[in-house]
Amino acid sequence: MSDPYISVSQVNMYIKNIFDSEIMLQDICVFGEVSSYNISGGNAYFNIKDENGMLSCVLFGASKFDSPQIGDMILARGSVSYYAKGGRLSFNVYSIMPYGRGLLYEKFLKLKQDLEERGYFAQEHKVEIPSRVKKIGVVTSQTGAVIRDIIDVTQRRNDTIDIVLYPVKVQGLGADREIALGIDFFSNYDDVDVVIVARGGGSIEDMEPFNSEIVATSAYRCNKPLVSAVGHETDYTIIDFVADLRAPTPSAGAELVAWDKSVLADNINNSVVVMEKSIAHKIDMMQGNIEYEIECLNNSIDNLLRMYCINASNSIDKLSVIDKILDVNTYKIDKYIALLELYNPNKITAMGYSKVLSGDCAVRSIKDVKVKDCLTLSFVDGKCNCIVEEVWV
Amino acid sequence: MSIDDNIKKINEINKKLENPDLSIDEGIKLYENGVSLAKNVLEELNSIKGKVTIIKKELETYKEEVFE
Repeated sequence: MSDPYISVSQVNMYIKNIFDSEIMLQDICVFGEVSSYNISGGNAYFNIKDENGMLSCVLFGASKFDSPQIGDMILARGSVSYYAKGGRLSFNVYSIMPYGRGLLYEKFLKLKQDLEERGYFAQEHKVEIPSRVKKIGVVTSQTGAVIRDIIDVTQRRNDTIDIVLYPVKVQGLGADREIALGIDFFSNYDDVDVVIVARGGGSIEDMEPFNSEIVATSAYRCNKPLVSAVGHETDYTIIDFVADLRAPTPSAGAELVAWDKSVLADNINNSVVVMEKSIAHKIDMMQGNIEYEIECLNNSIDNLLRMYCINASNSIDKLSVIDKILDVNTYKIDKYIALLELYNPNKITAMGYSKVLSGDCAVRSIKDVKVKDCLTLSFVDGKCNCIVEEVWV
Repeated sequence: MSIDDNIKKINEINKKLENPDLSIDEGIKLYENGVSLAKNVLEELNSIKGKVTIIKKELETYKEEVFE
């Protein structure tokens, strides 16, 4: 037979399961007056109440939130749970905020969710901010530090950029409509390359126009790239989600949009240096090639000269042989000339000898001579005819 | 030609100059062209002075006036 009794833990776990599975008690916002507030171990344990009841709350990581004062009306967001170990009901709070602000925040969350579902925040709808804008349209107040900061930052980075201001109220009644009109104006204003919607920091109430649907719709429909630069770094407004780019502050918005002129000038100068290096390298290469060609040419000329020298030396050797041959021949010729001189007929006749001719033929023998022949005697200096009277053999 | 067009051309020239097969004559022509473009950009950067204006509505028309 089973035990008819159940343990305390079993009862508490049963109760806890009931609370945890109750959707109506999960992720709810409860407003009430703070009646006690104690911090222990980094968590805040407090009660909120209204005229008819009280709720025990625990806020984990309480240091992240401003501590409320006793009597403050707050809005607490969290889930109801049952603390089984202590047997107590507990409202586990994720965040707290002053009640008035809380209502605005709720409105903000609701609009944010609504616009998100309508695709206002879709990444594919966003466009890139041009890298080199010439003219910036600014929607902000014409008085105050914001427009001055934007002008100063822009001109410090790049004094070639034009800035055109569409002046609007940035808080209070009618501000949302003016801001929307400003965005619509620049949307169809051909001169500007980008639009900055800006305002300085402020309370959530001050930011109300930038959390409005009318501004979100104008920002969504804007034909120009749009930068939101609203409040401080930690402030998020609806327009931040719709904008193509969110800048944490107005100055940062100008920094993001105004391209740095000096960086471009440096890049251009660097490009020229790169060009100079490229062309210098090419010239070096060409010079190297020319020097190589000249060396090759010199080598070829050297080789040719060497060949010619060898040939010339050979020729000189041959010439000396010819000289020797000529010497020998000259000697021989001299000898022949001497011989010829020796046998020169004129020389012989000069010695007293004379040549005997019969007609034109020389008479070489007495056998060819007969008595009564008419013979011609040729002397070195003349001739005479004579008749043969007697022949002796 | 806009600054962006000039910069695009300068970058193209730098790429072409990297080509080892490019003749020295072509290279010198490109280099001279590139330097001239760079000079134009720098001159333009130094000569343009941006204006700050405010939109004023007169009747149904909008016009820009100098913002003091």
